[in-house]
Amino acid sequence: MGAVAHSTSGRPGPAEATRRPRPPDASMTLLREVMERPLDPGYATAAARRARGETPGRRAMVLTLVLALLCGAITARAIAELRRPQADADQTRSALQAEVRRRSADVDAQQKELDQLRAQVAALQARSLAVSGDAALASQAQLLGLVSAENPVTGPGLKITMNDAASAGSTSGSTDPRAAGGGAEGRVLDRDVQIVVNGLWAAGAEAIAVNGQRLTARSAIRYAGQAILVDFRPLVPPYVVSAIGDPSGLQTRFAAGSAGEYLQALRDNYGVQAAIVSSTDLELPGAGAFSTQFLHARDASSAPTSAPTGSRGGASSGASPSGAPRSGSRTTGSASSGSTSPSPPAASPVPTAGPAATSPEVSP
Amino acid sequence: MIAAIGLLIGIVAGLVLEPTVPLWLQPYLPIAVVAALDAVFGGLRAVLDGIFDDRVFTVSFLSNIVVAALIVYLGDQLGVGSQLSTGVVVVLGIRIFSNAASIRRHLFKA
Repeated sequence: MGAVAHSTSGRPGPAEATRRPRPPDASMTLLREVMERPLDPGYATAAARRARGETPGRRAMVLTLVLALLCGAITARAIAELRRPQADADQTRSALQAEVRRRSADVDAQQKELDQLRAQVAALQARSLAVSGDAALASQAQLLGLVSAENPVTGPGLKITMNDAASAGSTSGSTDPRAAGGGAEGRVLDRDVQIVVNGLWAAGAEAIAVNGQRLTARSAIRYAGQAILVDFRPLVPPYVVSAIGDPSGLQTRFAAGSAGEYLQALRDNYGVQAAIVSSTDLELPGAGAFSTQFLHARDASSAPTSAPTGSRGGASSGASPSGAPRSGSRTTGSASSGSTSPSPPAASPVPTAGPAATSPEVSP
Repeated sequence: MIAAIGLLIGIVAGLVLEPTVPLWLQPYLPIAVVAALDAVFGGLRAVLDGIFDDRVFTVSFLSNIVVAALIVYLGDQLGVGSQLSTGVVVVLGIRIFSNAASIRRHLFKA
């Protein structure tokens, strides 16, 4: 543009007349420079100098040697450094890994200790009940311990194994469900597990555990990120729902109920892998004792013994073995209070049909 | 000749002595290595062309490394470090390729 303006503004000068014709690729000198003259022009100059008979002096030779040494050392060092794995990131990573492992081991150890203590408590309770000689109370305590999921149980039952569809990509199999996003279609969702569990309760299951997590009246099956949580412990697929009860009756009633239909629809429409296997000997862990608190307004007209849940509570608590709550505005039941098993605990309602494509908690 | 010997001794020294590279220099190592490669290929070609010169080789080697690192440093300061690194790698890569091509022509006459 500038050249055009220049040539039209004034008369043609001598400079313009002697100008060489522009090469066609004048605007790409940079590329030409790079492509056509990759060799340092200094080499040609030096060769010309040598041809004239000039030789470098002694000092120049020494300087060259020193510089060459330096260059070699730098390059070698740089390559060595680059070939080593990233030390810093690696260190942080391994430190975090070690931390996770340590904490997991801590949790495991504490869990083991907790189990031991629970077993001790159960043994002591059984002994004191045996000493007291009250057979009815002992059997009631045992029954309540079973239905409240406090104690581990064994017996025949059903095992329902669910897994993400094979088409759900890298999330299928036993990989970490939190590792990958995507592929929500064929995934097992918290709602699926909820419905299956509720179906099993409705079919007459006496005790249920999901991946070794015993369900109690207070258990929640939730979604967090990409993982299904039962009682705030993340599960890793496959999801195994173990239910204790009469295997054949349980299976028949489950299949006939809406949960069985739902599971079938999941299998047919979304490719979710599900298998129902009856087992003669299932072993479910205990969830341990937990306590619930009930607050209600003091009412002068109502008798203190007619507290809503008090009649069931407190069976395993030493303070009120008869199950009668203390009078007052605040009733604290222990272990088995509020448990209504083997009837299903109140959980989310079972929809009649239609598998869930997405869970409300994870809808994007 | 003297430059090649010096370079070899330097490489051995760098591998044996293992001087620690300061952390702030780490980001410039890859680009420095590519620049060094370019100088090496240029030197090889000059040898085959019969115009090799110790001083030119050494100076171009060092200046290549320094300038490449400087460009990346500048890019880092301006927030375009990765783009400038790419640019440097592209230019040096083209140079390496064409030098390698002429070395090939020298050696195999093809």
